[in-house]
Amino acid sequence: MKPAPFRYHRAASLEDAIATLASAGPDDDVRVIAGGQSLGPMLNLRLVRPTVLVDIHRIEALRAIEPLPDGGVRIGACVTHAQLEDLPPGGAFSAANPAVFPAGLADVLRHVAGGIAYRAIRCRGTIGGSLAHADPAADWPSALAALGATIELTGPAGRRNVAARDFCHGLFETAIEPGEVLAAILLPGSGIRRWGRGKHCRKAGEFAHALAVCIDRGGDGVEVWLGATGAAPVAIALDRAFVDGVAGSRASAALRRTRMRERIAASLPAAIAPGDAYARHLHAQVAAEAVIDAMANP
Amino acid sequence: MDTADAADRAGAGPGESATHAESGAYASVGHPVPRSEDERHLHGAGRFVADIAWPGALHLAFVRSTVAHGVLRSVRAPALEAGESFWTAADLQDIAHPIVAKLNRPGFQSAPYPCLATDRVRFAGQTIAAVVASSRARAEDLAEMVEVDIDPLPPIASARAAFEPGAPLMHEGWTGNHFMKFTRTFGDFDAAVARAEVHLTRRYRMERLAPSPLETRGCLSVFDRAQGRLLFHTCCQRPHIQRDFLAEQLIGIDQHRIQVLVPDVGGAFGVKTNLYPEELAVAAISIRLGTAVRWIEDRMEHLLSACHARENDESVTIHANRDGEILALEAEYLVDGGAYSMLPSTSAVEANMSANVMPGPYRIRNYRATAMSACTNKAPTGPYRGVGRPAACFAMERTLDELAHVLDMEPHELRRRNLIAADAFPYTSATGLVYDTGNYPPMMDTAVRALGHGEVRAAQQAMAPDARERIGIGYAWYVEQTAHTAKEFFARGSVVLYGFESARIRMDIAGSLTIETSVCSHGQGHATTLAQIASEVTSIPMERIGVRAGDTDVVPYGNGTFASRSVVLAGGAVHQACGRLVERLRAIAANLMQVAPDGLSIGAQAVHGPAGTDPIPFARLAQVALQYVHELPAGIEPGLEFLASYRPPVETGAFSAGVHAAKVAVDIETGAVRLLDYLVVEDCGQTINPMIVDGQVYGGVAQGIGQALLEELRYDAQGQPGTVTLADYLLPGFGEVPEVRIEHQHTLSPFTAYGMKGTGEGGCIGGPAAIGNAVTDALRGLGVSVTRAPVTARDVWTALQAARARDAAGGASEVGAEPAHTWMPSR
Repeated sequence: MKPAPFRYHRAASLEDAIATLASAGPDDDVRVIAGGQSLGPMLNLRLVRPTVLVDIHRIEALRAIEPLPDGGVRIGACVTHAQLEDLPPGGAFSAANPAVFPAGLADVLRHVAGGIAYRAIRCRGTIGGSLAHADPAADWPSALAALGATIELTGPAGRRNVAARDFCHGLFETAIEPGEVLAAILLPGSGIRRWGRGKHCRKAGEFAHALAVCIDRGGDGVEVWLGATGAAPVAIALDRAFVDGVAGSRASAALRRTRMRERIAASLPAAIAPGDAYARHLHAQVAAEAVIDAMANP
Repeated sequence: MDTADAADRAGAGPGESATHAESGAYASVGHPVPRSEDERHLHGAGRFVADIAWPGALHLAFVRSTVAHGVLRSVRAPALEAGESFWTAADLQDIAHPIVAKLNRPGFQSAPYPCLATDRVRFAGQTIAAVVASSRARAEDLAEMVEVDIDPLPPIASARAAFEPGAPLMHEGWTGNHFMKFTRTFGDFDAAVARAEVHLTRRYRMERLAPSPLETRGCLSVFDRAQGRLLFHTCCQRPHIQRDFLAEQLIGIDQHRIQVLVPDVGGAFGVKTNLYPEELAVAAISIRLGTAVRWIEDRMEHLLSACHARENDESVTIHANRDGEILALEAEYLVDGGAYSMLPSTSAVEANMSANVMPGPYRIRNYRATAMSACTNKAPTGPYRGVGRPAACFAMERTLDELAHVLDMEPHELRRRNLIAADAFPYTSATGLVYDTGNYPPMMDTAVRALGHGEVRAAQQAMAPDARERIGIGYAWYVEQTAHTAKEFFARGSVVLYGFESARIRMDIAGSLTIETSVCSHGQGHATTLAQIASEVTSIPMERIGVRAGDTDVVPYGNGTFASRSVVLAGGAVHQACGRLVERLRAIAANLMQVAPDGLSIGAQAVHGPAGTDPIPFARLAQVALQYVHELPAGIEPGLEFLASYRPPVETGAFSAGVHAAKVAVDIETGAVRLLDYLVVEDCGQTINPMIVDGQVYGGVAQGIGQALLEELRYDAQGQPGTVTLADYLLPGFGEVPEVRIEHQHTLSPFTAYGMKGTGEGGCIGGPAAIGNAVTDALRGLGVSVTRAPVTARDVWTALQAARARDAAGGASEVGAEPAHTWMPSR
């Protein structure tokens, strides 16, 4: 189980990485590797066979978590899941940077990061790598879409931003153009009123079979984002009155979940697991749990 | 070495009464001594086959079939560089015979399993060619460039398809696509059936599993031109048997020129009892090249082609009285054995074992069993921890719960009514197994009490009608035949008869001890257990006793580690050899003291004479035996080496027993099953090291939980494997295994040293049945019952939906039921 031969370049800087991508020949298949927790096994199984591998994980500039002037947060592409799992609750970014991390955002990031695979994988796997890889069953694509993140891409023509909700195009397909590197994830700092999450795995640490994140920012509607659908994350918009009605109902918990699940199932796109009643049930169930979980938060 | 508190010692057998350990000077039989193996493994200092460095060793990679069934038209070599080589069947035909596994039973059909495919491929993953290069990566690059031309044939992708009229014949000269099939009837079956008031039939399926040791297969075969010898480093369970097989298969190399060396082995579970085509090819190629060749299997190869197990479809009918007495039992097993039989256990091992052990701990005298082992286009199956017993236990214990439900009895009451009584031993089962000792009813009581049966029933009563999580409890019984020897294997038709184990004991001039054992640990802690027995007999402390194993040039001939035999047989051999050593030391001491040896005792590494005399230390006696032979009378042979080959006085085995009890919560909204509690009540006689016994139970239970809830090798209708990585084949992790509770009982064997019994397999036998019963118990009110292992969330939810749909009609639903499982082919 060894990868097919490839040339390996460890990039010293983002510029170096972009230059290396740009210098690839017409017959080259260039892949960027960061933590290697998904790409590594795929290389070894020879499911991907790049001719050139550009390793960006030593680029210090991509490993920073920084405050943004608007109160948001910029997370470098090579920040590991473990770094986010270990964010101090409501604390400063770091000793050198006394700005306070937005508390609600930190809670969501900690929760999502801490649920990814196993600690050993979280110590090497990166948020940017996971997003760029765009495995639909991964945790970040739906979570970052729900959080309203913006993805910062850098290429030979400079920098451009793509909304996380438009970033994943399908199975292993993203908005990244040839020659571009995913450099950072930009997150809005305020506005999370309540949040909730649902996830179903057959065993701990496995890729999810159903995944949902609900971020409530107030307003007329509540959006729940579904992952692990086999393609790009999917948003289902729920009417505020309906959500409040279910959440505030005196019915039993089972009945409230059933009402929420049936409402979500009615909006579940037909393209998700067509013909598989259990998988479709599970997506609706897990999404309902995320919404109800969010509404139960103070 | 710490000496454990006497209160920690297990049991109250003969091994307890007169031990040197009472003095507190050293640890011995019955103590939970920390394992001497652990330090090196915890420091990463263990040495496995892949760790053995060998200058100039070349790496081998196999080209494997990508189709399940086809005619092999041609294999074209890649462009090779200097020092690289390419091998097909034609290159090996005059150095290695194809492997042919046989069973001496009427109707058994065998077929050659070539180390590289000749004219046909019969499963996806079968070895077709090999390439040898300077690195594994380069060898894989070359393997990828090999052009293979196969004309596909229609595949047989299930056991049932093998018996369909018009199915293509899998092997030349066969009379049908079965390795073996038989029906046997025991007792006055028809009369008992006629007497019965209740007849209950249920069908089940246990899926195909990959035994999955941490360390995959692998070998480093070195042809030593200086000595003209083959040094075969491998990870196996039976070094001498492996050497026997290699000598038989390889052409032109006499057995004395083959040395099998087994370093640390990272788990085996039966998978490493077989001689594989890959291993034979590596040996043959290293001889041909006159050099060292290494093959370390990767996980994908393991999931594709190492011995698979189970895939056992079962149909059970219990004929009983209304008071719960079982009058007769009928069982049919249909196993998908894969394309070839493994050497030596064959693809019939699963079905035959299931049929043989089905009555278990119950007093069932009238029994009819059918066992069919089908030949299909899937990877070969063979022995995996428990062999046939998890499936038999699943079928028997699930059906008992169904019967209890029909009779409106508590499941444990029904079992009590049928357990073999304590005064019935030795007990000969309907199929002729001789249970040496046992005391089953108190184990049922212990399980019911320790699981909190009454509390669970009260909690179930109190549960809200729309509760999301439903709790349930389930029990599963088994008996475990251990340490059976030649006559028993002969009766089963085995070609290899595993009659004894050996130990050579050497005392050196410093008075420390070396044990050379024929068994071969793959994680069982033999270096600790065997040293404990030697320490018990000799009074020498554990840290002065070394244990060597796994080198056919060093250790005496024996059969190795499998079938839960090592502690009884190798322990028995150590016990005997140490007895001879002690006898020699007493004789030497008696001569020095000028007294009769009868009155001399052993203790604190010395021989003690009459009161008032000074004890003589072992080191002084060793000096006389090994060096100062002039002090040795002519009647005493010099030297302190003793070989004992232990053949037990009873060859039918020592029978351990256990009852597993599971408590689960089933999420009726997702179908997910959560284990809340898992209890094992086990009886393996006298325990030598209770901590090692517990370890055997914990590991086995984890595997049982895996097959109960997660593990399942899938093939599609074309015979294509769908589970080739551990992302698809789910193994339990520590998140899936609760803290297992163990209750011990000690019913001694009358014929083994200390009354011990083996306990290697029991842990993995009860899981699917206990958990299947618990899930069914949880969902009983919803009309759902488990019929398939693993019990998946998808199956549970689907069955719940079906039950709801039929609710108005009062129907019931089965978890895992599929139309294809509802018939058995004609016999």
